[in-house]
Amino acid sequence: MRPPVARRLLKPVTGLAWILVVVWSAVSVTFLLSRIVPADPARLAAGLDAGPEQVAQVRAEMGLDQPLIVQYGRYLGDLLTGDLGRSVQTRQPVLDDLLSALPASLELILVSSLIYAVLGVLAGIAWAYWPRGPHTLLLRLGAVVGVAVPVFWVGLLLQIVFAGRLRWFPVAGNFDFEGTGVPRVTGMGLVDTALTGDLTLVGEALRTLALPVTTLVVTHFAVAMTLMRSSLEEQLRRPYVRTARARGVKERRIVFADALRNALNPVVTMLGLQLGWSLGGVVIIEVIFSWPGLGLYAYHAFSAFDYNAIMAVTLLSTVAFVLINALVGAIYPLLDPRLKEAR
Amino acid sequence: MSPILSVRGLTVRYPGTARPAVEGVGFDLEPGATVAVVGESGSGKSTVALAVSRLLGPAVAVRAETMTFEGRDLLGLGREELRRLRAGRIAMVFQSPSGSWNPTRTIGAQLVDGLRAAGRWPERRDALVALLSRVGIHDPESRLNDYPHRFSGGMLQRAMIAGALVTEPSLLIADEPTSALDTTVQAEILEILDELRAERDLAMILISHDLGVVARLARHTLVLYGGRTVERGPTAEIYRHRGHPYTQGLLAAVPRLDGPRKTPLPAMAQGPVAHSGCVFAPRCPRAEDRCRTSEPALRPVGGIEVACHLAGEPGREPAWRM
Ligand SMILES: Nc1ncnc2c1ncn2[C@@H]1O[C@H](COP(=O)(O)OP(=O)(O)O)[C@@H](O)[C@H]1O
Ligand SMILES: [Mg+2]
Repeated sequence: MRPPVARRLLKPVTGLAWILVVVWSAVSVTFLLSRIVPADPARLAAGLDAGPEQVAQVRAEMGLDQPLIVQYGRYLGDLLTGDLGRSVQTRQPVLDDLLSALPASLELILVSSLIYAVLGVLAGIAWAYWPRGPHTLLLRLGAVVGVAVPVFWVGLLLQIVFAGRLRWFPVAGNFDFEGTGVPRVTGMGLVDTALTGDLTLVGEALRTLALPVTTLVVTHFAVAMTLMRSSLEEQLRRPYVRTARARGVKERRIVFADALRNALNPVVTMLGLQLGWSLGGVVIIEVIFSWPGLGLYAYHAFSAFDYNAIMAVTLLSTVAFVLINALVGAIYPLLDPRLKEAR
Repeated sequence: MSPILSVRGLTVRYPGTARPAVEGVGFDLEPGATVAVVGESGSGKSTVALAVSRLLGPAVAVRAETMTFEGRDLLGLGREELRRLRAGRIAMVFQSPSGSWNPTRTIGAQLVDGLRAAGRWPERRDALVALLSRVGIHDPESRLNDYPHRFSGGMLQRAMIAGALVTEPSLLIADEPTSALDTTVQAEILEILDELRAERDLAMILISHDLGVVARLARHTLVLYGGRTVERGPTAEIYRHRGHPYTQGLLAAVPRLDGPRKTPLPAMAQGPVAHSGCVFAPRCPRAEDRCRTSEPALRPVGGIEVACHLAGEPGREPAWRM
């Protein structure tokens, strides 16, 4: 029943090749799009009061006077050596910009994803397990709010109530490294304050995270919850569940030993996809909360048509998406023995 | 001997359906005996099986004048009592071999769950292995660690039977246990099932859409059409009399190995069901006016009971003699 050895050895190789093909396509499409848009990066880079000669000079420096294919080749070459060009706004190498913005985004994404995944899965299980009762009203409300209310609205509401009126949390910004003198090790406030061992600093980092994380959780948890619920309910209607009931197996055991594992499959996929999108989706939240991550960087880059920065951010979110998808694919066999064998 | 299972006037209605899926069905089952429930697909056989084991959900309305098992009223039992009953006394085998197993857990894990539920683990471990080997699974110890997709349909059904019998129940409900399998495997599994049943003095409800399959195994037969009992009695008599036109049709549809079929197969697709009069009237080749207006009750006709106005009337010999 096992696939031949050659195929088993080839599988990771073809998987990697596939990832490379997708990334290369993304790079090429981004490149093409950036040359099609009717804006002149050289003119923007040179500044508003630059004369035609200066613009031409900048254009030559940026290589934009070359044929498209040459530009493409140079772009790919630079990419391979890790050279993403310079940002017009910050006058820094884009790679440095990205690396310094990434930790703040990761912190936001990881903390909120962890919370909404766990909460959503637990609430979904509870809903399927106890389908009647007053708690379903609450869950239904949570589902409607999470799906129907836009992110920016939740964010603004939380800011007005909890930062503006009650002053429990800061309105915006991430953890203040400079003001507190906490050394930047990972760049994530929560981790770096934990490294100092000072609990008041950790509390401070948590306070800065509270509102943006809550916003993300409120708007994302509903999808996980409803999917978990319907997936579990669907499994509980399967004939094998009836077999287990016919054997007298207790309902709790049927849910947790039989149905849950199968029901988690689509939920893991969805959470993975959501995680994959989150680098791109985090823009709004970072703008609302002035959270200095990739989203805010991208927002500034797009508003100023900061050419290299836009290309780099697009590329990064695509690569993240592809990699997370591959990772989710690697988790599947743990959930389904039929796939484990096919590997 | 008092019956182990006694059912009278069983009526089941699924939510959102106009008429009951099963209406007024009744039968008695002696300890160690087999009763067959036959009828075409959709006639209500599975519904009867699930109603008796109380596996229909809370949304399904199940009513009966009597439904007692080992002297206990099945309709009056609580959740936990029912669970215990299914864990220990009533076992089931379902039609779909692959669907009836959880694809992501090993055969052994699922069978052990059943033994645990019955409070017979690990006491009956060796008995389980012996039974698996008895039903025809080679090297059962190691096959317990296999996932269902490593088993053929026949093997899954054998394992299902072993799992059903290992808790030493007194009633086995087998809902088309071999319908999804090849004919040769079918015969083999039915053989084993009947052997094991006889050894254990187990009572059995054997469900099939094929009268030929049950003829040898069940002393008594119940023929369902549209959720109604149209014929009931000793299997041999039903075979001989063919009192009801529907049963005649069912029997005519049994493939014969000895010689050419003499009767063309009557249409046996999911048939229409009348809303008044005899349920079978719209498809009956002999239906008369009274069949369409008044519903025939089950009445004794020469050793069996038939729900047909025309049965047993002089000069109305069954239309299809094979
Ligand atoms: N869950 C259900 N909801 C509604 N109707 C159902 C359900 N299950 C079965 N039925 C209907 O009840 C009738 C009897 O079905 P069933 O007992 O499965 O027949 P059989 O086992 O003889 O094929 C059919 O008409 C079927 O459509
Ligand atoms: Mg059925």
